[in-house]
Amino acid sequence: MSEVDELVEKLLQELRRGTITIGVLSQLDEPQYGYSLVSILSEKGMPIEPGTLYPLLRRLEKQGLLESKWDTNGGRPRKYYLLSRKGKEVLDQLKKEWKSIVGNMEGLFRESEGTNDGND
Amino acid sequence: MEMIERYIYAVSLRLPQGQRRDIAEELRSLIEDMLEERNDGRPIENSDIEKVLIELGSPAKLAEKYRGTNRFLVGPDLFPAYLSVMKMVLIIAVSAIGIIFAVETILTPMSILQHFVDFLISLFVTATQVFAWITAGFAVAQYFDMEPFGLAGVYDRKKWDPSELPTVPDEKKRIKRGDVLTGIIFSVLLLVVIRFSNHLFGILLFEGHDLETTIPFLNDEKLVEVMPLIYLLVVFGIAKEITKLVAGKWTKKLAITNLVINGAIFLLAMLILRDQAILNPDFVQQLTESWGVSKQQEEYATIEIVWNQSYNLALAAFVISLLIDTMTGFYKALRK
Repeated sequence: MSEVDELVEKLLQELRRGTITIGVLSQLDEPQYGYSLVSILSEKGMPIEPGTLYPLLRRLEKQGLLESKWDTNGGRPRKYYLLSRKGKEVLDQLKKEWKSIVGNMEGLFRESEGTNDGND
Repeated sequence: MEMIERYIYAVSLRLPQGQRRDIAEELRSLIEDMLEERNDGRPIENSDIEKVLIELGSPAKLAEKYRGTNRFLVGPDLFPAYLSVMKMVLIIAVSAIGIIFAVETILTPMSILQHFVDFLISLFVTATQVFAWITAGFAVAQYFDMEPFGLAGVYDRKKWDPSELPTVPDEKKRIKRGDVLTGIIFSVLLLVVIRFSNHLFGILLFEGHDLETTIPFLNDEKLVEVMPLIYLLVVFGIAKEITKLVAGKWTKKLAITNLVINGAIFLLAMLILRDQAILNPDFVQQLTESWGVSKQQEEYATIEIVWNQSYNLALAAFVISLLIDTMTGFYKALRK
């Protein structure tokens, strides 16, 4: 049983890794700093380690999907990230693709469950 | 709090200079945010800091995530070719030096210690040179993102067209490892002989079993002058063989490259041999003296003629072998 669990965990990790980028982009209509994103995402059921998120934010900025600004007013200096125009476009397309993937997957599951029932 | 600075320092050490400050600032504010949230107003202790840092992961791993793609001096695509060229040239160079050591020791066994010291020095000099130049060559190839044709093909990695797959080379057009090896051996031998044992490259005169003296073919002083050209010659020679090895089969393009490199080798050789200044000017005199032949005797003229003819013959053999090499390339490339 533990071997199955291990495999599931491993595959799940791969699956999550692919969805992190969309998840992060979807939360950046409003400017956020790194740690506030960590809290938001984990509240919404998508926990992500800061050690993964921070480098990701930087990479997305380098690709031109995010813009950033340091806010040094009040207390701790923080770097805020926000979707760029290009980022918005990319996110819109990704969302569409995501919906079609979900639809297709459900279709696949229904079919295989249907045939399994028929065979058994 | 000191621990935080140490952590940030350890991470930024592993980052490109330009990004260090910004990432350091961001990390500092992240760690403070994390501490604040975890402690909820409680005074912060060292153990709290340690917990947060452990959660962030080791500095090396975090820096790796920031860097994203790995950077290579010689990447995985080129590495097999790099390794095989390196092995080949090193083995040849070491054996050539070993052979020289053996020959010297047989000729003058009394000075074996001196030979051994020379052997070690040559070994060290050659090995470092070989290692440095081959690595530099491959690093340049890596920097410009060249791919070995034989391995990855010349097509684009992402948008590739199956019709661009390289054809499996005809057995007759295939470049054999042995040929390449011979070429490299020749270049390396040339270098080793000239660089380290000019004093043996000549007519050896024995007194009983011991080497009495050598009448060298080449002029030592002039040789030092043209040494850079000889290095260049050897580099061309090895570059030619590596090009062949990487190409894997004879094509028109390779035949033309071969022609160009051979042309360059020819010009270099002519430059080195200019005015025959590289030859030992006193060769005939030294030889006749040791044989006890005087200038007036008929043998003197004969020896002089043989010496000059030998030079011309060697030159002719060199030019002809270059020509044959060039033409063989075109023949193999163009035949069906």
